[in-house]
Amino acid sequence: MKPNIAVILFPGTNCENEALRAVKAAGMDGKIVRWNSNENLGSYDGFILPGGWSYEDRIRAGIIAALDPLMNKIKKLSQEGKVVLGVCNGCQILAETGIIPGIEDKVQIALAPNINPFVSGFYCTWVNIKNNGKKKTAFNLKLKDNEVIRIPIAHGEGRFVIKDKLLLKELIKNNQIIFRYCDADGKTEDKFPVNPNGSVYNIAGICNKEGNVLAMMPHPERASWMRQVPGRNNEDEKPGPGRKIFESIKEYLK
Amino acid sequence: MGVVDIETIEVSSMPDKALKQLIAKNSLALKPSEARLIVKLLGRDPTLTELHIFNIEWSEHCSYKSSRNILKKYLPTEGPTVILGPKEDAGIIELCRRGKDRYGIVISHESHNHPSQVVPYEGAATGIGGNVRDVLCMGARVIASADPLRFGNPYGKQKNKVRYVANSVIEGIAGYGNPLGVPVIAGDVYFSDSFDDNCLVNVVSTGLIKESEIIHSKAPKNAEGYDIIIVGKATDNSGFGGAAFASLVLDEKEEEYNKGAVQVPDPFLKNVLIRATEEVFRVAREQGIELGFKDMGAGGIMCSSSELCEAGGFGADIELDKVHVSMKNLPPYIIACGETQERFTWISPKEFTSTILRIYNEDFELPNVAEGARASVVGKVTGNKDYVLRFDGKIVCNAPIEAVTKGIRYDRKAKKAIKKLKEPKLKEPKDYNKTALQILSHPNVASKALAYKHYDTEVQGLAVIRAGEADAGVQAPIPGDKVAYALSVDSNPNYCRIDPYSGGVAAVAEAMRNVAAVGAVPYGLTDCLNFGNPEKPEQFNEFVESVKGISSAANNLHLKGTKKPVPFVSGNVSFYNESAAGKAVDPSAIIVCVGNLKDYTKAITMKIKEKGSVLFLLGPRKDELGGSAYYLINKELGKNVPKIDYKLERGMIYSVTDMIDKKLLLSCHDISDGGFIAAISEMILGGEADGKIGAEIDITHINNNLRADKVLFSESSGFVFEISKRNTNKMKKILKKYQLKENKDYLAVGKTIDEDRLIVNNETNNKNSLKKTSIKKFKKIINLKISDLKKAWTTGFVEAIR
Amino acid sequence: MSSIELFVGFKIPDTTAITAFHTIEKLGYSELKKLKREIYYKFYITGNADKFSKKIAKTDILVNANKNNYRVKKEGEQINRESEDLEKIHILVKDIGDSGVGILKTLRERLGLKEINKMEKGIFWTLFFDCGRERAGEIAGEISKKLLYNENYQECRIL
Repeated sequence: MKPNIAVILFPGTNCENEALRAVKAAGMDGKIVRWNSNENLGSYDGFILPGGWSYEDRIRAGIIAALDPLMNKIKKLSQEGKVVLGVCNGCQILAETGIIPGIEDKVQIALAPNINPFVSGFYCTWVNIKNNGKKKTAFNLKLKDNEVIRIPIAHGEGRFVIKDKLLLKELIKNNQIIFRYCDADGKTEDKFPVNPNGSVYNIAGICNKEGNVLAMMPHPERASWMRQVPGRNNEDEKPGPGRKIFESIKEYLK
Repeated sequence: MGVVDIETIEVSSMPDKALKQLIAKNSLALKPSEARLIVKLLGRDPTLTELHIFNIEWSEHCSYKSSRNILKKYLPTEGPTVILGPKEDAGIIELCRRGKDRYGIVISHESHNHPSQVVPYEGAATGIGGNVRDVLCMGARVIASADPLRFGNPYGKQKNKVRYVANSVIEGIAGYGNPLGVPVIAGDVYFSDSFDDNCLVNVVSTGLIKESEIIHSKAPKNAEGYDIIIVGKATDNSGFGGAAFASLVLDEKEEEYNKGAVQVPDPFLKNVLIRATEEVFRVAREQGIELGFKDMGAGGIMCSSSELCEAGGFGADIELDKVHVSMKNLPPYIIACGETQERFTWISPKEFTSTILRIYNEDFELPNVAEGARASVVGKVTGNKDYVLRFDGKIVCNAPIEAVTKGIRYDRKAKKAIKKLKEPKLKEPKDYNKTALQILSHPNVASKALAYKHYDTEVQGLAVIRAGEADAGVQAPIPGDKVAYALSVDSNPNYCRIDPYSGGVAAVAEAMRNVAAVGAVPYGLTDCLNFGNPEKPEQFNEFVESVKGISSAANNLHLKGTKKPVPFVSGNVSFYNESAAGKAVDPSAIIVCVGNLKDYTKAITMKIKEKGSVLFLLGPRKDELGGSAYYLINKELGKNVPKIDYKLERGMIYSVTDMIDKKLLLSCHDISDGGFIAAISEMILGGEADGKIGAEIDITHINNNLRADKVLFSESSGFVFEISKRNTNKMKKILKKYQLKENKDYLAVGKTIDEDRLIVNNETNNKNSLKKTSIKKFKKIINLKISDLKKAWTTGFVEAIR
Repeated sequence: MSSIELFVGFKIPDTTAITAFHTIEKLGYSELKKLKREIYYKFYITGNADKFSKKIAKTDILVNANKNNYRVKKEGEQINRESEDLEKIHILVKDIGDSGVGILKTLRERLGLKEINKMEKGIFWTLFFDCGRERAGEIAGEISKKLLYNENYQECRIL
């Protein structure tokens, strides 16, 4: 039986269709589920909080969706072991609910406005991120340690900020920092353009201690086929760099 | 004669002077003669509501009164690639046939110039909003947008205002398109002081549709008794009179007064509306229900409901009290004609109405998404041909529906302006390196990355070639299917300033070259025509000449494989783009070309791919520098704009698309702003300005009758492409097939090299050659490091809008 | 050196404020009756404060008269606590370390406002409650923490 993934649609989400396509391309079943649906979410094996602008990022990105009763349900389900992947706006929502990093039951990090010497505000470009293979999570089982993935970002509030310096140390120690911005050779230089938004420690994605929840700013669903990668359209429908993240989810849910 | 229950305005008994005062008091733009015509059409004096209705319906924006006759006369609009021509809210160009059905690209192209000059962020944002609605309401999924922009001189007298407008417009486009989830795939920016007081913000939207699933902008057959449902934001007084406002000339003193004319964008509501609407599409298609659907723009409820019903041969009866409003005490004419954003009108059989209401009001919780937003039934389609509006139990409008929608037409006078133009006598540059860098850093030529990096180009995951990588954006809109379409926007205001006819021809040709450069076959066109005051004969003449020019090009640059025109499927006219001082903007017929690619794996970008490849120049260099970047940096305009030789142009476009289809080319770029030198520099740099492979060019054998600077900087039509030596024979066969001759129409001009430089040689042994340079000893007239090219190209635009 | 505060409000509907109000309602704070949002700027300048106030209010990148209203407060001026039926609480949220660097450069260089030495930017919320001042202050604190700011990169002051 294929794992069944719910792609959550908040008002303002806009990446749900390609997220669903990426789920299916990795060999899983999936469905787009509205935030106000009466469905029994417990019947799903995993959830994707896709990218977009829930509530138009009013006040700040992700905060209003974070306060939606649905997120309490998602929190409980994540504690029961269901897989939860938050991409971009989904990442912001997970941060504003405290589900990520999940060390304490409160909000401990933020996705703040980008610091970017070239473009202020929303910034869309292709970057590289590197996998921390020391922790096997639902999202990197199929990736090698230090594997570099070419992937796009598109956000105005994507800078990971952690006020508590000790918390950052703890996350590093726990290997909860799964993805970091790097150059094509895997060097994690903390300078623009390698670090596109000023994220502390070049963080691109953080998971919880158990490894079943990941909040990442780059968009793996936009790099699921080679034809989506700039300059590689001649490689057509071959799996793209982001595919392995979804295939890892499938592997984890076996 | 339609009976009304309220007071009428005694137009028929008023002398012209009193009538003018009444018109001004009510902020109407009608002329006394037009007011009297209303009396004639109604068979009685009009109510205030009826006056407002005709005020809007007869505005230039809604009625095309000055332009329709000219457009009908010249523009080609039919052809085998047309699924739907310019009859409804958007046109549809064929994408591919699959099984029994055809897929089409829905496209709409409009302007939002005046609002963007007054409140640039909101103007640009609502421009996109309105345009996206046109595509959605055909039943399509909206998949991309493009934005051709024209701003004033960023270094001139109005530089602060210009920079404010430019930055805010770009932010407005991002602030609306990004939350909506519609990627930007193309665009351009030009600066010219003619736009100092009146910027141009044109927007283009595309969508994907199956021919069998098109929803028309008209009440379907047998719609008598059907419900008229309005969906979206609660109606308020915002944008009231916007259509009339757009047709009035902007006056600095009146800016404060324009408060009521500000339209408020809400991309969040629109995002939800799109998804709810797609659900309505899905259920309706499942159940086989035929609906009518139209977006609301200028003229609000009145315009959309009257056009929907009239197009189907019906009338309408609407109770304005049933319209969901956000302000109390709105008079009926504002409820009927206000231009509140984010609204649509449905025509639905009664048995399906509750489904529509449920999807919007409950499933997608519109009332919680935006205050007062919802779907409401406001009236019904009637079998007679009257347009009836009721308010507070009284009939406030009762007019023949055809009179409401028909509009009026004028035959404006056209008179050619006498322009004192001449070709400048420039001294040859002493330092070609310096000149080349100046051209690359000119804001019109330089990289626009600072603008398009604000836009989400990846959302929906359909991008194959995105902004900056090539001359056109490319999308593969059907997941899993190899078919793709390309899109480019073009128009050079400097060419058009010199000669609107040739500028129009050049714009169409350039748009087609741009899609050809990625390998796509031009399949269709749209046009947004931005001009001055049509009541001034010299300005109206610029419009007529531009329409003639674009039509001539569309007719003669045949659809590949046929002798038929490449048709215009959609468009828009925006007049009164001038300031109160009476100066019109540069004639701007902005053109979009949609190209077709059977296999996106073959699409190529402009970036040089390999060392040791051969570089070819296709298209002779002519003494056509009028309006060129080279003349601009020398503060000249000139006279000789590039002229298109249709046979040559066809040959170039067809051969390039054939060569790319046969996978012969490694990279390709069309020649336009900045001429050959800009083209080769951009190929070296690539969209991300990270190119590392250089080029060595020899211009010795290019047109011996032309001085070296003219060869390098002429913007005559053409292409530059990179090809492996081993493929040059196949290439020559294709060029021969289209009667292009080596050395006359094309020649090898150099190679790509394992050095990070651009080198241009000019051998001047031949003393009969006009191409002698005063720098006789120097063979290398250009020798620049790639880092120099990069610096100039990546900072020119940034500096201009900082 | 003196300081000038500029508060930029909206003549057109402020959808962010409307959404904030409804979100606070949903959180159960029925005592909140009205909410206003202004963009807040604080300028540290050398030179004449009155002259600068007039200039800064005319800078279209900060205030577009077609959609914004504004008020200027000079150093030392008191906050207006005129008696209304409703208890008014102000909440100022600023990004930590946010000196509006991008705008500052444009104001100083392109627009020639060289008298600005430093600036701060934030959001100035005004909440109107129908309950006592103490309770209003309590609620304001809770709302700030739950919704209006994230302490990892923002700071909040209740006035």
